[in-house]
Amino acid sequence: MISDQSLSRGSVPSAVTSAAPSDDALLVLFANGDQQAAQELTGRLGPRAFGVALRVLGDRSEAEDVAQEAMMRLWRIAPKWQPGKAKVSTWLYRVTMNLCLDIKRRQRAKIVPLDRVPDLVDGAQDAVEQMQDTARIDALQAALMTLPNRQRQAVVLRHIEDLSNPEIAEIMDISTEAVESLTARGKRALSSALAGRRTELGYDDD
Amino acid sequence: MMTDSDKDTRDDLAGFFAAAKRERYDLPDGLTGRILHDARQVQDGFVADLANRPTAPGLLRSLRDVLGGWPAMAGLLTACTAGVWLGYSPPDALPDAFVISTLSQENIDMFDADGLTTGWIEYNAFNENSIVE
Repeated sequence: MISDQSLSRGSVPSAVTSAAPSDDALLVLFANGDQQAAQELTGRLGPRAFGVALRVLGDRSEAEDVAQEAMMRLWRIAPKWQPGKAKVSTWLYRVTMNLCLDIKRRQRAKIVPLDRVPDLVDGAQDAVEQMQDTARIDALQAALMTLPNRQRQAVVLRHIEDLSNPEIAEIMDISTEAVESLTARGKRALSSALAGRRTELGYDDD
Repeated sequence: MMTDSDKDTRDDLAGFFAAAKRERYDLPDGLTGRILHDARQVQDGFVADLANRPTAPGLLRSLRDVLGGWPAMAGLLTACTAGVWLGYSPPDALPDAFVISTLSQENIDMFDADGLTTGWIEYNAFNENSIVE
């Protein structure tokens, strides 16, 4: 709902009229004073910023700070946002990754086991599978934290966030070839780090 | 081209990545609240900015801006005043506007036909003759 049409800063893309307005449309609505748009964008993009920051930083408190700051920058840029020029999610990933890098530059990288995050999505997995998943995720996170920052970012974006190489290149401001190189080296390092843990993590049963 | 080593690496990690993808995070309640609080504050700023936006400038303000500010406006005003005064009370060296307005077309044309100098001389001669008469 647009709370005040008179405050309009730009035309709302047509997608806003459909059942699921685009991120672009929501951002325009937000700039026009629509508070519901803020809730919708927070629900869509907040978990992505938080999740990727958690993977890259390995620290829950820092990840919360990064996600909050990234979303704050999104709110501030809303009036100047040009719909269709860039994907909102790509822009947010980029801001989030840069904030993560800033933090890592300010401190020595430390390996911290990923906090168990509440609200795991309940599914058909039984308890054993879920425990196995949890152990694998923790092992992966510990291995990720041994990678150089840029390698870790590229691997997380490519293989956990499932983004394309060109999109990652845009987020990290590097060439697609550089993304491929970073992910390849990162995966080799991860594979080496996890090699001795396959049996304990249940891969002999797969 | 993918090497055997790359393929082995991919197979080794596939299970780990799949597990990581299955784990989805919800925003902690406190963080959701903080993000929405930030959003409201930023939005309030948008509304305040729009409310404080100046209305369309008036004619005088527009003219001042076009001319380049108050110094230019003062100069223009001085020039206009001087022009009006010269028209009302011209110095002796200049023709009186009232007299010119009473001249016939023939007398006025001489300014264009023979140049200003010639016209000026003839105009003085005309005046002197008038006075003599």
